[in-house]
Amino acid sequence: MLASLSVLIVDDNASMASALADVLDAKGHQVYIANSGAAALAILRDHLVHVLLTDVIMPDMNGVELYRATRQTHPGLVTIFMTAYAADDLIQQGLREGIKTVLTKPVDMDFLLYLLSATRSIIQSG
Amino acid sequence: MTQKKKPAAQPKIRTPASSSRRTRQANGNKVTAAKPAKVIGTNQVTLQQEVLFQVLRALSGQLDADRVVQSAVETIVRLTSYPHVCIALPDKSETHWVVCAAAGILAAEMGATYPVHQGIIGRVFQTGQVQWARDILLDPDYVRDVHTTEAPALRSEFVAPIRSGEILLGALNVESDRVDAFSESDTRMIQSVADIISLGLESARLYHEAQQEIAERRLAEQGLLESETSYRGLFNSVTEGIFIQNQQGRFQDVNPGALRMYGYSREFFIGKLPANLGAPGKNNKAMYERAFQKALGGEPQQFEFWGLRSNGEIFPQEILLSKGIYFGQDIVIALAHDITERKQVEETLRQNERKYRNLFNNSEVGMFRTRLDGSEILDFNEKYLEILGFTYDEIKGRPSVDLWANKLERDRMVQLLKDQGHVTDFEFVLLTKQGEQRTCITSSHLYPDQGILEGSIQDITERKQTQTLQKAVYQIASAAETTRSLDELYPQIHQIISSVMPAENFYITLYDEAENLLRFPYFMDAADQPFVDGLQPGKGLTAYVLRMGKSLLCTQAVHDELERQGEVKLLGVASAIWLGVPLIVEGKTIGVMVVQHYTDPNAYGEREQHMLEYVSTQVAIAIDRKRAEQKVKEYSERLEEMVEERTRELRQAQEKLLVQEKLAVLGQLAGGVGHELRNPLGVINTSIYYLKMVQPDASEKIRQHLAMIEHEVQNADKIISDLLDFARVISSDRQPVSVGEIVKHTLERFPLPETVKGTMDIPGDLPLVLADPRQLEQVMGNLTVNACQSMPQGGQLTISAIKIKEQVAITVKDTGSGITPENLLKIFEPLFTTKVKGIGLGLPVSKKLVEANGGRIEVNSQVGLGSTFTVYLPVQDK
Repeated sequence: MLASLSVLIVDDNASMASALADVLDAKGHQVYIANSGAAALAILRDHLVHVLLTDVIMPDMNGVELYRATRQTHPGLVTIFMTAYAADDLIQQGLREGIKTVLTKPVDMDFLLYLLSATRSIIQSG
Repeated sequence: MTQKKKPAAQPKIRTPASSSRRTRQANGNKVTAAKPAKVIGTNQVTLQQEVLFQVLRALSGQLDADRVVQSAVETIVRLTSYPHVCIALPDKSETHWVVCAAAGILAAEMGATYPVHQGIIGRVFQTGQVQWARDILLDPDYVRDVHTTEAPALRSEFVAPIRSGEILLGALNVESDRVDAFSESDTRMIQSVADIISLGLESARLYHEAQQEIAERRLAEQGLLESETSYRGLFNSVTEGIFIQNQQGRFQDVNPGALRMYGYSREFFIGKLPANLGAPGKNNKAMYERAFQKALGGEPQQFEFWGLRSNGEIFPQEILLSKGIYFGQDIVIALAHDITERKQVEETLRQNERKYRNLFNNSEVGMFRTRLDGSEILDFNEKYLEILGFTYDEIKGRPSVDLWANKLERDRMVQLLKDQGHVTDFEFVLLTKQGEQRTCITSSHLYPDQGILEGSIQDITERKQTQTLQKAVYQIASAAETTRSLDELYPQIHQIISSVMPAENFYITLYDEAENLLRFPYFMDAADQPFVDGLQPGKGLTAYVLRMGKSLLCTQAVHDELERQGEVKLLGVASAIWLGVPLIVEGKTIGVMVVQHYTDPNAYGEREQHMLEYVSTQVAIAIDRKRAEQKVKEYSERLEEMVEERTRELRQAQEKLLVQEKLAVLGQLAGGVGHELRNPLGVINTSIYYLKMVQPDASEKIRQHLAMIEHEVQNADKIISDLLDFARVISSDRQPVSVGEIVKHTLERFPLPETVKGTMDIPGDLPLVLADPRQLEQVMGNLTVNACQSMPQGGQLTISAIKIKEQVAITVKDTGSGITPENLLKIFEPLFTTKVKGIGLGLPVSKKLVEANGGRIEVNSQVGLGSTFTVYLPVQDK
């Protein structure tokens, strides 16, 4: 049984990323942090990551682009969008391309932890 | 009778005295005070007529040529403004003319003799025509006085020939010290005077001739007695006809003169009677037979007899009958003198006199002679009687003072006459026979020696009345100009009418076509009240005038008659007399103007009717014009109002647009800001979550603060959500949801404060509604939070739901402060808020959300009792 998940948090806001990382870390998950799409892809190249938790609107590469970049290399990666916009064109785009989950900021932490534990169960059974 | 063609003249009348040594024309060089020329005015004709009349009077009965010309000159000087006058007559030889009468500066010329061709007067003797020297200095015939260099005292001269038919009798010379002093009418007058003088001179000449004839006849009679031979010679030679009549009146013998006279042979006459010679119907047979008998008795007789010549011509004769003896028989000798020419002259004289008498009688002005003391009217003409309304017998000899309405006026005129000898256009009020007062003017002269007043009188009542009316019309027209409204115009019209006639009770009625009503916009009445709400045009007098379009002078009799005919009925208070005239504009009767009197039935008559009719046109025009003006004014005011209203509407629309624009900008702003705020809120939220997680045993105080931060992050997030929801187009993900579930979640997310007691009343069998659950939850959250905030002191919150037809009504009811009706209308408008905190988007967003889900939201509220919001949503299966 997999005790924890490996989660990559991508957000250009460093505070947001580290606060999330602290909570998930405290809950026993393996957490990576990237402040840009490029940094995220670098981490993905070197480390095993189960869940990609990414902001949508970022300066260099937005969440949808990042998601597309991982499709070929990491087809099994579970991607969760976090956004300040409830209805954004980018979100719609991501949903059309296969994104299953979009969380609006401020993120309901209980719901996020619940999602992660559900995901862990799926990975274990898969 | 000798008649000669011009320039032949009458025998010299008077031997001129050689009083003047200087040879000069009839002008002097002594300067005398210039008398101003008479003012030529309305009375000019009158004055001229008077001059002529006076000259005629002065000359009538004058049988001496000297006195004729002297009287003429005196009369001219007395009555005209020309004091320098003379009359020149030719001398016996007709080679010279002589000044026979003179006055003024020309008096020095009295008796002077000049060659017949000399001077301006000489030209008259030469040509027989009028001579007019406007400036004698410029006249070629003016002879300068060689003894002086002074300017002549007389500067203009008018000379009229005195003539009888073709015969020139003399010249009337009038001069003035002013250049061009004579008006055309004055020269005509001078010529007329000259004509009258000629009549006088002719009369004098005839008289003179008659005297001579009588002397000759006497001589003949004398001879008859003296010698039979000489009698026979005379009998045969005299031009007069001599008829010897026997005692039966039959002709025994006639002389050649008689044969010439009648054109018959001697044989014709013998044995005939005078009746056989008379013109039928012209003679009084009884008269001349009586005369014959008297003559036979030795009493000589004289009478006129009209004869009939053999050629049918009739002619007048003067017959002298005397007794004689012829061959031893008592006979009557008839001496017949053909008086055709004399008769003609007499006839001319009579005609002239009749002409001037006619002038006097038929004059357009009244003429009179009265005593200065007013005790007796002496003479007057037809017009005078006409003005006064009296007959000849009624007025002749009556005191003239009785005719004056105001005796003081007469005193004033008498004083003026005494002071200056005459009055001109003296105005006074005259009483006619009927007691009517007429305004008259009189011009008269005083003859102080006789205490007699002569003059003319004119009735100017109508003229004055016309002037008054014209003034009134002008005033009405100008009132229409100067007044600002009809209400100002009416009293002015009343005032103007009052200046023309008594108008204590006066009203104006206008016909309101639209309502078929008589309106009374102006009503001044001592006894009656106006019909404030108007009056149906019925049987009233006013309606009658309106209907007929003709004025009505309504006396009691007229009223009775109209009532009998069923035309009118009495309305209001009966007046003694009522006068109404229609107000007509362009052939249309727009109303009626009325005056009435309650006590005096004679207050108005035909005269007042005409006057009121006269001014009514102008009144109608003034009212019509003012009315049109007012209409235009009202319309323009309404137009202004309309423009104002439109402007207001436009401004409101513009404001609304502006608000929407503001809101759109706000939406964009909110989108950007919301995004930016949500990120830090997310961080704070996550950090708190971490702190709470890692410090489950933290002190109460720390946990309390963490909860506070968490709560405020929630509030902040809610504001941002509202902003974003409001700004963007809402799309709903509608699915069947349970109202109970939603309410439960809502109360979990927004727990009620402790002071508020919550009650839920949602039936278990309530059908699911079709709605976006998150949006419905947001709406319920808004309503719940608002309800709680309206009850800061606590209260009861009731959330209930009920199915109504195909809808579910969810109500959120509080017992809070309530909403004022004024605010109730605005609470769904964006940015409206009564809260200290909050930006006023909650209810607008809720409304927007409910409507996006096919529902609607309603509110009921009573201040002090609380509010009830109801959300209607469609049920899942209809």
